[in-house]
Amino acid sequence: MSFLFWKKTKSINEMIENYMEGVDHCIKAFQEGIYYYLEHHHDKYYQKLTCDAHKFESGADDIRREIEHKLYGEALLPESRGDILGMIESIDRIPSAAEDCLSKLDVEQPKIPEFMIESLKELVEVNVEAYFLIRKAMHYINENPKETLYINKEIDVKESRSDDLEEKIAREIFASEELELASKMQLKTILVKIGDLSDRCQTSVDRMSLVAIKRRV
Amino acid sequence: MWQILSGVILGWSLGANDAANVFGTAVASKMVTFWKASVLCAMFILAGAILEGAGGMETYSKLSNYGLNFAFIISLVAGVTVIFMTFLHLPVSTSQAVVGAMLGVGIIFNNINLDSLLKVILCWIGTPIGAMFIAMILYQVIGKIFNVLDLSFYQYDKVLRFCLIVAGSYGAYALGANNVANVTGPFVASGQLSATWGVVIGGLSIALGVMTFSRNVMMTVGKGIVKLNAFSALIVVLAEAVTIHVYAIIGVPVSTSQAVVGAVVGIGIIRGVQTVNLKTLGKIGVGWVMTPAISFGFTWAITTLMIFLSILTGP
Repeated sequence: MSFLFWKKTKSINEMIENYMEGVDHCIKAFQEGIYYYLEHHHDKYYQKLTCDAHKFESGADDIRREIEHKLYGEALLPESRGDILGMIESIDRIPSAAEDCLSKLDVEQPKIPEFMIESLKELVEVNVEAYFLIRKAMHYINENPKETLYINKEIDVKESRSDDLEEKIAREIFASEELELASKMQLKTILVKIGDLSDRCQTSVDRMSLVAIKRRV
Repeated sequence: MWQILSGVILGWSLGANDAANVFGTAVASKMVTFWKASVLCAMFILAGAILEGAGGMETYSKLSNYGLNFAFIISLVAGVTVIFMTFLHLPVSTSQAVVGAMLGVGIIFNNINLDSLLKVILCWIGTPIGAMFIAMILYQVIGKIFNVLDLSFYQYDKVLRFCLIVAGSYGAYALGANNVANVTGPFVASGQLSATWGVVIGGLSIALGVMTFSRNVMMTVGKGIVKLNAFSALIVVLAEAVTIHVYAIIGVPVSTSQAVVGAVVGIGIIRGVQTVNLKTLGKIGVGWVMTPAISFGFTWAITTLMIFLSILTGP
């Protein structure tokens, strides 16, 4: 009987791994897309990268729905089902934020001032790193849940760094005399959109930490 | 011997109701199908009844002596009391209903063994209290083992599910060992059945109740217990099983539902939360007093009426 349980949970685990791979691709497309936009502005290749990110996000979404349906028929404890669903739903908000950001640049095509480019690259890098820590946390939930608590601290550092960078860049934007107020507001929104990634990573890792703590008696 | 039918019906209702206390969690959370759970439960109930059910029979035999017709009345009244209390949504113990009914007959014939009665009442009081302490100890000990094992997400899930099924099977064994005397005990006490036939017929009728009519109760009770969280649910089932097994060894049938409530209170004390509200505890208190009182009253009235009619109709 326990062998049957093992087979079922293993298949859920494999589906979660597939889901995370989809999210990985989406986040990589996000990073490549923003870097490309900063260096080449908007063109067909940027549109392709936006499209790729959308495809990966939507593919991951399909797997998430499949996992949700499968979970209800599986031999798992009700609280484990709830925890898996909760973790995946909170992780799912990360690629959504990435896709939103790329799509905003695709639609609005704002001109990025030279002084922002390096700082924006750094902001993207910090947020992408925060996501890859989530990836690590998801691995540890399966292998050694206690480690998730350490990753929580690392993500907290990334999230604070992202907030600092956002604030620094926002100050530079609003201090600029070349930009009009409308452009300043538009650029500020893009900053917030990029920073959303690490905010959502923080929410996800908090959820994972709770899952890990709950399993300590 | 048709009178034994009332005991079989009582056993059937006991199986239908009490299986939920041991396998409700596993079935309600879909970790095992109802059919697998009911087959496991029925097998272990029968094994418990046959291997360790004789102790309770002996206690009931010592409590009072009477003929076959009175054994029939005792089983019938106990069954009616259980249905009546369930209808009033009050928690009910089959053991208390049977003992109350036995006393209803015994008092008329001035045939009650006070030592046995005292032992039974002390065990009734000891059931929820014992289960509470056992739950507190098990929570600490098994909790420490789980922490030391440092299981991953899926391992924790798998181990806990496996433990719940093992605990459920042990609970079913203890249920059979402890409660079989409620079913055929009055007939063994009246000398109409041997202890061996008593445990076999009793065990089979409880198992029949589990197989045919326990699904809905399992879902209702199981979902209630699951709300605790899976680890606490495991401790509740295990504490209940250990408690009623101890009483099966002592030879006194007790209530599985009262053991469950005691265990849930114990979990609450350990975790510093109120797991059972005062209204529920009040209801349990009312059920604790009313169940033996009602079955006592009914049996006393029916027995008096029978004696009165037999005097009127003459020899």
